[in-house]
Amino acid sequence: MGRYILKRILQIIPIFFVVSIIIFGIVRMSPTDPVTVILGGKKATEAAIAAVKIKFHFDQPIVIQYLLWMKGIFTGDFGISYKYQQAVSGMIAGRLLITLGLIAISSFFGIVIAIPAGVLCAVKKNTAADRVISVVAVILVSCPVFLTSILMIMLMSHINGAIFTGTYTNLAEFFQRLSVPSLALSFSMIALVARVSRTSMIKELKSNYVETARAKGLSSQRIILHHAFKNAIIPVITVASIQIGAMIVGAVLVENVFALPGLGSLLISGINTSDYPIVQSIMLLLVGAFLLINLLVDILYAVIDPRIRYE
Amino acid sequence: MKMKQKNLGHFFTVSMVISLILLTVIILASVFAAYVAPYEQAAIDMSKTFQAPSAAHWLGTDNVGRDILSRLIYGARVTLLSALVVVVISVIIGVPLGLISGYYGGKVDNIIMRVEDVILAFPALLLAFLFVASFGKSITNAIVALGIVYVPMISRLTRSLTLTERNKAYVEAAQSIGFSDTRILFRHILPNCVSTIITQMTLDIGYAILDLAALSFLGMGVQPPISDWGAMLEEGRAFIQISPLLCLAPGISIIVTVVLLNMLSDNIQMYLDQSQRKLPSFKKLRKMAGGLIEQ
Repeated sequence: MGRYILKRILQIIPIFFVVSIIIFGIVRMSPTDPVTVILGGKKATEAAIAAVKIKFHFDQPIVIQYLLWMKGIFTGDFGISYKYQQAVSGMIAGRLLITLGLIAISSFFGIVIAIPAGVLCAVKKNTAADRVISVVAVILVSCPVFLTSILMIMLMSHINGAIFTGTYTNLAEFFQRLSVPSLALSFSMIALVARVSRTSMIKELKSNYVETARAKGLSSQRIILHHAFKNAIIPVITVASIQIGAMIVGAVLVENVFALPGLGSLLISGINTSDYPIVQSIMLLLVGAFLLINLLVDILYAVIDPRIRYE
Repeated sequence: MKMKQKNLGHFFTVSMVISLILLTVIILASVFAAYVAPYEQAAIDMSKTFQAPSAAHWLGTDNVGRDILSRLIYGARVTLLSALVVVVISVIIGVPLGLISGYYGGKVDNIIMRVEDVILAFPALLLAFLFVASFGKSITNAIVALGIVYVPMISRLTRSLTLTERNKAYVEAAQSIGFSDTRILFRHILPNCVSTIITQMTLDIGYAILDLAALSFLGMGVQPPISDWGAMLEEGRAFIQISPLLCLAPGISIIVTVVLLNMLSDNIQMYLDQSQRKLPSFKKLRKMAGGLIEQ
């Protein structure tokens, strides 16, 4: 087990560094001159330009600039924002919790709603309930997350007391602001996870061991929950975790629609203002999180299904 | 001949026919937008803003009096064409890569797979964000970025198909005749993989529509005055309290098109995957057996 985990981690480290080089390289290929962004497009004296160049390390060769950025990433110094002239790490730290909360609450919704729905569909296969849930699932899968967000806002505007903007001083406020956006974000996960749990559960319910359990006279509740469900859950975990990974991008869109002060909205405003320290650091952080989720899934897999470890 | 007729019977299932007809309608409407659309897409009429649906404007008008239906039809053109280009780019790069890495294996395969691992490390839209952030906001950049992001998907599929084809007798025969590898790959192996690749393409067009809409929605895709469904959603968002149709019309168009593409893809897959094919009805079976059953 330990060896397997080590092997997977060793595979991911080079990918992380190549990704960081690609992000850094593409950002540097931009035709926009950072100095003009920093000085706000105003005319500046030679001395001011030189000062900016030294402050942001533009006087150094590009390789050194990359190494400085990488060193900063591991020591918590993500550089200085061009536009706001303050430390990017501080800006990210203030917003990280909102994005994490958004993804965590959405995943919770996704699992808590979708798996029971899928199992229900499988048990009541080809009944009205099954058909309705299946059709809703197909529509939800094809519905872009920003559209669901807009529709949610439209619905919520008729309900008093539903506010998404404001402070995040305590936990109650945190949940009040994030619950509706999280629900919007979780729809596509709900749809896919429900569909996969249905298919997987139907397959398991047909299998021989379920037949044996029936012959033994076990209650159908026990068969469904203790026998079939345990085996049916493996493909569900794959899809659920892929969806949690996809939520990283979904969160960017949802934050943008609901105007939540998270990482995604900072990324988009960074792109709009050519604020590259923000763009490259958030981008690397999000890709890193995506890689980490994939790693955790692989490890979880190996725990559940020992055969994978020996491949 | 009889064999062919039987296959056609399976191919045109009810949901297949529905999705094919509706998709054809959408595609034709977008291609012949100039003839189909009742108004010019940019025809502004400030005396008729936010009109409810009527005989003159089937879906009403927007904040500057443009006909929503006409904008939707012209928008379909941009949306569908961009999505198609994304998929074509990914196929042109991805299929040869998949063929080569599946056929030759070894070092070449390893290099291609590792490079694709890096692309797969990016969530699809993030890489597109990066491209647009650096090279400027334009639909071309968005399309190129998504095209590259989609390469690993199509390439891995082609690779796995090639791996199974590679060991078949006809490939061995072609090799022993002395055909060049290029000829074997493109004239012999590829035609056997093409149907599965097309299924994946239909699915990918759906994904591309969603991703492009997201980019346009964030203002990183099409730039004014051109607009697609994503951009229409973004514009309509500000007026959602006055006229929900401004958002609903492009939104529902996106959902319907993607659902239809998914249906089409599912059906083609079901047709290709023999184990999932439905048996012909008893009536048909009797016909095929030529009265044998009766005896």
